[in-house]
Amino acid sequence: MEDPRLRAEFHRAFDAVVPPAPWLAGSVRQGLRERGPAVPTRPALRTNWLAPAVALLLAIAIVATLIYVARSQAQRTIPVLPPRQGQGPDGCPQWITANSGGGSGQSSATMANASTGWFNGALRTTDGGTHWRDVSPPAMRADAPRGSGERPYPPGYVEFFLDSTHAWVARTYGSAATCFDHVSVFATSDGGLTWDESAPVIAAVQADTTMQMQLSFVDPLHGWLLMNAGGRLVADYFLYSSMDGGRHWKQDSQLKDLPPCSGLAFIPQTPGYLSCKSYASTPTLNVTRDGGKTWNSMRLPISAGSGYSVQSSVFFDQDRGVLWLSAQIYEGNSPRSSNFLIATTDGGRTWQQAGDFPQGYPMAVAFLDTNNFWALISEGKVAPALYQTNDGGKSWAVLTRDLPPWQFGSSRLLFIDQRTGFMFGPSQQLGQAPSTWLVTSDGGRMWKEVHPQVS
Amino acid sequence: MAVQPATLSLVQAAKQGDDSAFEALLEPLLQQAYRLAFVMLHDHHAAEDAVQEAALKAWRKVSQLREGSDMRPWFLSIVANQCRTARRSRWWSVLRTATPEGTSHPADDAVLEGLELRTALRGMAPDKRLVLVLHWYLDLPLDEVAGVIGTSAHAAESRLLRATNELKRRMEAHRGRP
Repeated sequence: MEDPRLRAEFHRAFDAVVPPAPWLAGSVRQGLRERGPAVPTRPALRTNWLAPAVALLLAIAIVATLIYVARSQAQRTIPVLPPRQGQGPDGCPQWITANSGGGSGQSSATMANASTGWFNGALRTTDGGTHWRDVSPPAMRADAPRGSGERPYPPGYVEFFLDSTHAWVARTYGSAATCFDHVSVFATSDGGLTWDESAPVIAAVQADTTMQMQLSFVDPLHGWLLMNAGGRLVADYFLYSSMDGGRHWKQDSQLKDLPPCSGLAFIPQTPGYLSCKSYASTPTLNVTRDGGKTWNSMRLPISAGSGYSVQSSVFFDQDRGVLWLSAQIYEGNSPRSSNFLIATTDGGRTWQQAGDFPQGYPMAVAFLDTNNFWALISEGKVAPALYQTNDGGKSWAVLTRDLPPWQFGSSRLLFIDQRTGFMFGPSQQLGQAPSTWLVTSDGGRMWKEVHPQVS
Repeated sequence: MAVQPATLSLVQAAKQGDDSAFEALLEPLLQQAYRLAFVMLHDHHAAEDAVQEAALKAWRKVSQLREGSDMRPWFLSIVANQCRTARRSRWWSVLRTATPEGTSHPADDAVLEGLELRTALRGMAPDKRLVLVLHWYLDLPLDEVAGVIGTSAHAAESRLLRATNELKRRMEAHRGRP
């Protein structure tokens, strides 16, 4: 049964009077230390006539069961299949090597502070982006084919970086029978010095030749893994969750018949979001409020146009988030690209248009908090302009039109505070340094270009 | 760089007496537990005490937790039971009269807006209040609500439906008063 109005009423009624209790975890911890036993005790077994009788009956039952099973197995064998190993049949995705060609696709970086951060391919920097080191787990490459080169990346490789020391990478393994037999997730909590490999995650996806995955962690322990068959207009998505830092995973839910979905984002204390490309006239966002077990499709408040995509989304806490949405608006037969900023302050229950982008075409956007955004805007000139807003998109000011000449086509923007920001381009290949890396320490007026390299 | 194969899950570690593992399991649930306790007991201090006691009881009963089972309904059922115990002891030890909200000091709009629902909820039996809070405030799906109250999902849905209808009737009646 669902009654969104009643649910919202409950939240309004009690969020106003139940204060957050951030001290509670410490208080409970102290109480457990003071009053809890060191080892949970079990009640002593009573040694009267009943226990031996029960034990004897149990033993008889076990023996009888074993005899029955043995007789059944003589007639019918039920195989228990462990994860299978193998390179996979012909046509399976290949390893990404230096000779694979093509770009690395979407480029993403996570900077924990001005000096330490991560880039595609589990590259890590501790000097603000000049030098990068591949800290990916060696075990990930244990079955790399001969001649793959120095640092190949396995099929299905995905990654997620939480902070300066916690990161996860995942890959698929095939077998003789299938391209996608199971997934392994590797986790590090020391910046890539050591990695733990998860128990095999058996792939529920029926994929032909491409499986796509996304990883998202909200803290060192709680994370989600989303899998789907790739290269399709619509597909089923399978969501798995982990509560132990990625060492074990269980399947939570299945979302059926979705268009291409990216932007899996979970935030502490729920909700979680999955943004999907929509071919309908109204864009939607899939939201879960139970950690991924059930999902509702929410309509976003943009009504005109077709072919919506969520370009970027940031959720600052369980209540507040911002989306950058782009759409194709058809005027006659000609599509015109339009871009929208929409925001939520109630955990995604309702969304409002936050503001407008400056005139021109947004190429990259950075969201620091609900008020402070930066946008790289193409104004039809050689180089784009960098704008900033301090009021959530209602008004914008130009910071600079004097950026160093480079290819801005696939650039990304990232700000970690009001003053420190990064602008970078994609790498040529997974595991290679970003093509360009610019740093600002004055909020975006002046930028310094460094020449990143992998050592 | 060493690669260590995965060994113990948090649940296994907690069952073997690893209090850090138990705390890691419990911590994500504490805020919801606190909200549940507050709504059931209407008192911040009592809510904190109930969550503390429930955490201690959960620690002592962690050996009963099955591998792969959901921690949240298991722990919230302990919290709900603790609230029940707290209510009974308070009933006998302290004579309480219902303290009307909104009469002690001026409250802001957000607090006043929810007064009708909170008042209606307080007038309902605790077991009905529990299912309403679990589903509509803590956003638990029906199977988890069933896990907390110890029934089937079908029975939980029936109980929730009856409680929701009663809540709405109470709120309508409250609106009708001058």
